[in-house]
Amino acid sequence: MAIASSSTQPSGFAGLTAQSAYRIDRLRKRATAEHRFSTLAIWVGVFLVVVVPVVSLLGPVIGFGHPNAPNFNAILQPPSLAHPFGTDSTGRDVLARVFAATPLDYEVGLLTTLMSAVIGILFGGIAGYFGGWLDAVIMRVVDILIAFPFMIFVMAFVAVFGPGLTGIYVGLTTFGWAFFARVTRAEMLVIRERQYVLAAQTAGLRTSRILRVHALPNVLRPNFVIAMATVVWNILTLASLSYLGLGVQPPTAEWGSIVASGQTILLIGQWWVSTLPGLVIVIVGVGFSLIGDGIADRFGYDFRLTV
Amino acid sequence: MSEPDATSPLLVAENISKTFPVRRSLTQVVQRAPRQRLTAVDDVSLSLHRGQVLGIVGESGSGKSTIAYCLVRLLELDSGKVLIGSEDMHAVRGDALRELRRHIQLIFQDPYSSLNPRLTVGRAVGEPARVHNLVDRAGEAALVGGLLERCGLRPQDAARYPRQLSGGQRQRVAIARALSTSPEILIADEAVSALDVSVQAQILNLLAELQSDLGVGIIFITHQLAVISHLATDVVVLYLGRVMESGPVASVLGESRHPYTRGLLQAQPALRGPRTKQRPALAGELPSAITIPSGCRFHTRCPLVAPICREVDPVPVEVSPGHISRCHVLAPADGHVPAG
Amino acid sequence: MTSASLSDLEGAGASASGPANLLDIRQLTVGFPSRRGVVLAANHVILSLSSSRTLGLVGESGCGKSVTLRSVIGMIPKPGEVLEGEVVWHGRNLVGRNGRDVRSVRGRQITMIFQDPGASLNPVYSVGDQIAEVFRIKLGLGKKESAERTTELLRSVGISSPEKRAKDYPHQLSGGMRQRVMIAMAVAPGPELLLADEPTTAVDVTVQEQILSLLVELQQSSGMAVILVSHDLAVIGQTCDEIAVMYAGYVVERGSRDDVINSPRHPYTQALLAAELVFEPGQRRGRLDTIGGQPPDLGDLPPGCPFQPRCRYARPECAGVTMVIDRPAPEHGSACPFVEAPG
Repeated sequence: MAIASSSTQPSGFAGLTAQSAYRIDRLRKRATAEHRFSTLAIWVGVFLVVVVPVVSLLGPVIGFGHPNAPNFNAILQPPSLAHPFGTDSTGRDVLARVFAATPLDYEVGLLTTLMSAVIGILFGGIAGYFGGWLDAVIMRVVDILIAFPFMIFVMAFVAVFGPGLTGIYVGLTTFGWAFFARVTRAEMLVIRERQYVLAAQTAGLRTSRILRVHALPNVLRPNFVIAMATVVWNILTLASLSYLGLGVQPPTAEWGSIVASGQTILLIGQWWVSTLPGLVIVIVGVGFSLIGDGIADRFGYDFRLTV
Repeated sequence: MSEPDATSPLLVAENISKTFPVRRSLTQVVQRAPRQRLTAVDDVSLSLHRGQVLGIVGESGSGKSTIAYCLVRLLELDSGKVLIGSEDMHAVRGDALRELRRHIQLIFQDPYSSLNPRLTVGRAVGEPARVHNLVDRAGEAALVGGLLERCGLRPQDAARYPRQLSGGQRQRVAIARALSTSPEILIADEAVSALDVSVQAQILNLLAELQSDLGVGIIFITHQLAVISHLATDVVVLYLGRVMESGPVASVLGESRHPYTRGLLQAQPALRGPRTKQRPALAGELPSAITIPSGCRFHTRCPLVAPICREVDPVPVEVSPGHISRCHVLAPADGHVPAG
Repeated sequence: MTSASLSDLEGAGASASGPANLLDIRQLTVGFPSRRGVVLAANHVILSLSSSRTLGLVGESGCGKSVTLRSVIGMIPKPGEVLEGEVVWHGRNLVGRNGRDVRSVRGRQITMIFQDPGASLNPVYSVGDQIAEVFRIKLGLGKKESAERTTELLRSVGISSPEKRAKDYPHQLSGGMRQRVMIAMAVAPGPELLLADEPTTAVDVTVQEQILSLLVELQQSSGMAVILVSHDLAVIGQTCDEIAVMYAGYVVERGSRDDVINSPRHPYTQALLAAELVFEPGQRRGRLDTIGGQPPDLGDLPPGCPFQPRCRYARPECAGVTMVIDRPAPEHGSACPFVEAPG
């Protein structure tokens, strides 16, 4: 039996048969494939998330019409070179409207997530680190929030604050922090027992410093995964509410409201007003989800918020 | 303990005790069963002098790690004092406590979780000194470099992250960090148990070197008698939270006066001894720490058990200079049977 | 690195003819995928064992002793794979077989005990039920007889009041008792070979003493062979007839216990013995001999002998060493062609 003795193989591999050389190759490919796959997922996600705002910004530069200017000569045109997404019932270019809506949707999605994360990490961290009645109180609040039917909850805020975005911002943030708090608390319970935290305590560090330098940075990664899912969730909620007429008011452009405006004509042949903007929502949603899932896979976190 | 040192002790633990509450099951709550407590440390006293390496040896449930945590006040005591110099660690608060912490540092068992993965080695080692304002930005690099070298690493390693280091190297970093505030007392809590054999010896040599170069006092907590015999000057033998025997190593391990110590000695696997061994030294298992046996807590497993052992807790008796044992049979208090 | 033919490699390490070996491990090579490609956790391991003998596999973490042990019973953790070699049991190769063939061997002729008894005891069944199950399924005994044999067995592993203890659940027992129950489950089917993977690493030394003496007793009364894996040289030295020392996936030395401990031939064994924290009362060594350097990184081994970076006898020729044991079993063999036993 021939021995594969190769100078390109790392040492220790001498004396192996050709058959095991094949098996080694197969093993190696399998290992790197998994690693590559999750890395690929992350990069695809990043691409999708970035390409939409980039294109939205550059689009008008290339020259599409004012999104809100009705052009009654060109109502309900199907997709064409001049209007890649067609026009809606008042003659507005749908693609231009989608572009205009991008900053709004991204802003709402990212900002509410950021605010929820900050609040959630703060409270979750305190609950986990200090325990006791503080922990009990905070976690009960979290439990109650999570138990609420989400949509109704946000709609209630919209009812209080009236039409427009304020209610949505407050509602999404008030609901969202609960998830971050839960995850942070769970991580914190583990981290506070870690020996490097104990070492910091023994060294006489102040609690504020221990939390800031030792505990917090190690709590962030799982929160990032949750954040990605939250962004998607929030954008979808905004879109849903606008679709129901509870979000932005016309003529402000927002993906959900664009979809809503095409609803009645969807099945009678003018499909492009609802479906193409809807596709954009899906792309953005998939993008953020891929990033979140990719990171979770790479670093071994097991929880997913199903969106 | 060893011969009284001319200088005053670095650390004195006086009658420290620590118990933990035990979770009750639902049925127990409903039945209104009394709340139980787990006795981890029961009335332990010890002291550490300059130049001493005090070994605390015991098996699981002996309370040795709990003692370590109590000495540095990671846990609060139920009763007793821990005197660092002349201050009671457990009586001070705030800044005074922080100041006291400078003098006593702990090296943990697990090299893989005793370093913050997000900090470079340099930052981790320099942090305690910085926090106590012992060194400024400019001086920190020099201090860190010096400490790393002293611990067998290179100054360049300050830029590396823990994940790039092996277990032995991480433990060296942990030691360097512990030395950051120039403490007089180092406590090593099973500091070599998680390391490979070839590396254990390296770390023990390092500790011995530090002890002779810097004059720090070391308390070494371990379940391995071999470590004690190689490194320690004095030893305390713990069982279920209580000191069974203590004194200079040669005396306690060479001429032991307690059946538990003797049992531990005999149980050590003998590399070169005859292969067929006599019956195991100690039968049975550790009793629960929730219900400590009456009288001498070792009586349930003791090969020399006498009737008095079940009733009366033996008092410490000095059987030779500095060598104290708690046993009715091997260290009777002048033949007197204590009233009980 | 010179090529060698497989028969050359096999010749030097193959077991001598004589009483038929119970177990023959031939050129076992196990690979694991890692970030750096594939690492060989076991590398052309050659070992053999006869009935009633105890073989100790000793080495530090990552040396391949656990992987070798688990290969015997076909329990290599995924994603590892046997790349080459055979495990010959009663003349038949166990590697690559699946299904019914292995089932008659595994759990019946060859059984295994682990470091963590909690892992192999099912928490929702009483210990008595779990042992009786072995009797019923592996030996086909009836319910009543299984229960009786269970009680007997528990008694023989040193558990008092076995009828009562049999009804306990694993979490109600102490660590040492769980270990005994695990041993009971392993010897219940009357195996010819018992594999023990660090069985005393997680217990106190006083309990360790009890467990080891129990193992020796069981082994002597039933004539079964035992392979004991441990990183603790003293444990191995105390209980085993033969010792194989492993480093970076290779067997570096192999021989009878007295030979290996008293006249170690391989530099790694010599260094390990010198550095081992062996308890010697009355002797306080000021400075311990150490093995300098770091434990080997399997993904980054030097050509030839993996111990080179830490070996006091290292020389340029070491890069050409083929890591084959020079003398066939049962002689005292070493993989180092340059160094001899001290004195």
